[in-house]
Amino acid sequence: MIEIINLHKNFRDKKVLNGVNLEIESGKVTTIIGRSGCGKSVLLKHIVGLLRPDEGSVNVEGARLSEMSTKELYQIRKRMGLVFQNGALFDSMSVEENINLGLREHTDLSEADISTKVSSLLDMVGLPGIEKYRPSELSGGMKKRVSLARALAMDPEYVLYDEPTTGLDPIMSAIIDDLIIRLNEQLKITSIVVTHDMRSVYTISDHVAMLHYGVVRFNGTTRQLKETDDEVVRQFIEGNILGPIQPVLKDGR
Amino acid sequence: MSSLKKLVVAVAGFFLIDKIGSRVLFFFSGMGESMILLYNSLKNLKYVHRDRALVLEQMVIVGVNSIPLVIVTATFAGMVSAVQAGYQLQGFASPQMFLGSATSRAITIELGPVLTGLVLSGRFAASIAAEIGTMKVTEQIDALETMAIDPVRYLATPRLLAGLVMMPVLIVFADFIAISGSMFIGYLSMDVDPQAFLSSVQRFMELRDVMSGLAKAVLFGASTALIGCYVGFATEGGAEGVGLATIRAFVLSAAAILVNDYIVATVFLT
Ligand SMILES: Nc1ncnc2c1ncn2[C@@H]1O[C@H](COP(=O)(O)OP(=O)(O)O)[C@@H](O)[C@H]1O
Ligand SMILES: [Mg+2]
Repeated sequence: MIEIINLHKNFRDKKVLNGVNLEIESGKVTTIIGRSGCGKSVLLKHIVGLLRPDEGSVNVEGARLSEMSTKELYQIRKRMGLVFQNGALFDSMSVEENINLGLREHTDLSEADISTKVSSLLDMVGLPGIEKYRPSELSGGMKKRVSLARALAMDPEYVLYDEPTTGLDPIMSAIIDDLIIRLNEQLKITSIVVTHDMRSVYTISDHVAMLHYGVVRFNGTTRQLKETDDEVVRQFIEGNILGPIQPVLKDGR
Repeated sequence: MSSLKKLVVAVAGFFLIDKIGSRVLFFFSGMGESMILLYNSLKNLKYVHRDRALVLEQMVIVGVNSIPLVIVTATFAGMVSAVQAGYQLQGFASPQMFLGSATSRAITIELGPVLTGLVLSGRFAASIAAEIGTMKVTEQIDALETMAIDPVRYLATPRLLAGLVMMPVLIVFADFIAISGSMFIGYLSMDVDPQAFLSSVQRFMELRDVMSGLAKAVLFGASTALIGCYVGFATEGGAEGVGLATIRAFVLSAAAILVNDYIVATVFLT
């Protein structure tokens, strides 16, 4: 289980997270929704320990990330995979090298096993046979899927997806959603999915949390989400122009 | 009136000191941070056997790709030092006797390391800063971190090692070429017999000339790689930030060469 407790984060004088409280249940799919720029990626980066909280904490299986040594943190990270919003592929490496880097660094698998694993991961994300491509030769959606394959390479227990379906066509989005569900059901991977795609939200989520002005505005199941009478949440999930949310996000309120 | 003037001076002085103060502070915090980076890079030397492929790759990038540049720089440095030495020896001493030692000592102590260092450091530091800076702003450094791979071990240590090893190798190579260039010009324009040139080199060159040149080379290699990595990791703000980082690395690494040159000269030659 991952607990996020009273998490605060500012960048200079800009308040981004302002007391976020959230529990991520193991073995479940939790989606995080919220407007662009509300701090969803920042929240994910706290969960893998890339950013340190100004106040509050992130606990993974009861242990507080900010109190861990680098070694302990790396042990936890080996059990996590993060799919970056823009892929963050290593552009000096081929697709294959991107995916097998973790395996080469952290395991004793043979070259043959590694390359079998890489090709099965590429099959899984719908990109068979692109091992030798460079990231610069891929479209945005392909990069994101290679990033997903890279995140899955070490058989993580937790996978964090930062907008995995943004920029993909509807069919590909459905395939990725299906993959997220399968990974969760078959391998019991605890999944945290940041997304704007409401269709995905209803398809994949066990739990939904909405981030708004630095705090968790809504936290519940998809059924509760559909039935909520919070006007702010309703406006967001229905995508209405008129409503309590101002078109322009004001800084930290 | 005079009290107003005093006030103005005091306020202006305060702002000046404040501004200089913050610059000085900034400089020292940068120095401190790069020393920490140096320490952390050296700590990873214990993995060098495992990471040898990474190190080798960097050595090839630094070394092989720089050879043409080194050849051109060193040839001209050598030829001009022969012309210069010939001019200064005029009426004092015979070029037959002294041209070899005058040029070769100037080359091994100063010209070889500093000219080669300056030419290479710009290239080397800027390319490291651009590469690591791009990785920083496109979250590739974050990606390494989340994969439990230490970016210092993976990126900085191999570059530092490559700089430490390849800079001296290239500088010694440059010394040889430059000395050959001097000998060539001595023969062509001053009728200095190559045999006499070489025996002059042998007779007057001292061990500490070579040692100081090598010490410079090692220091230049380390400072160049370190500055490239430090500036790269500190990059912020997209493509524009990468551009600024590249320029910064270029300027800082050249400045570091001149400062280190002075320090080594003081230690070895006084
Ligand atoms: N490293 C950083 N430095 C300064 N500001 C940042 C940084 N990372 C994110 N921010 C700011 O925090 C806010 C939230 O960003 P982000 O989490 O990326 O939003 P999103 O919810 O769209 O993923 C944005 O206003 C962004 O400008
Ligand atoms: Mg985001």
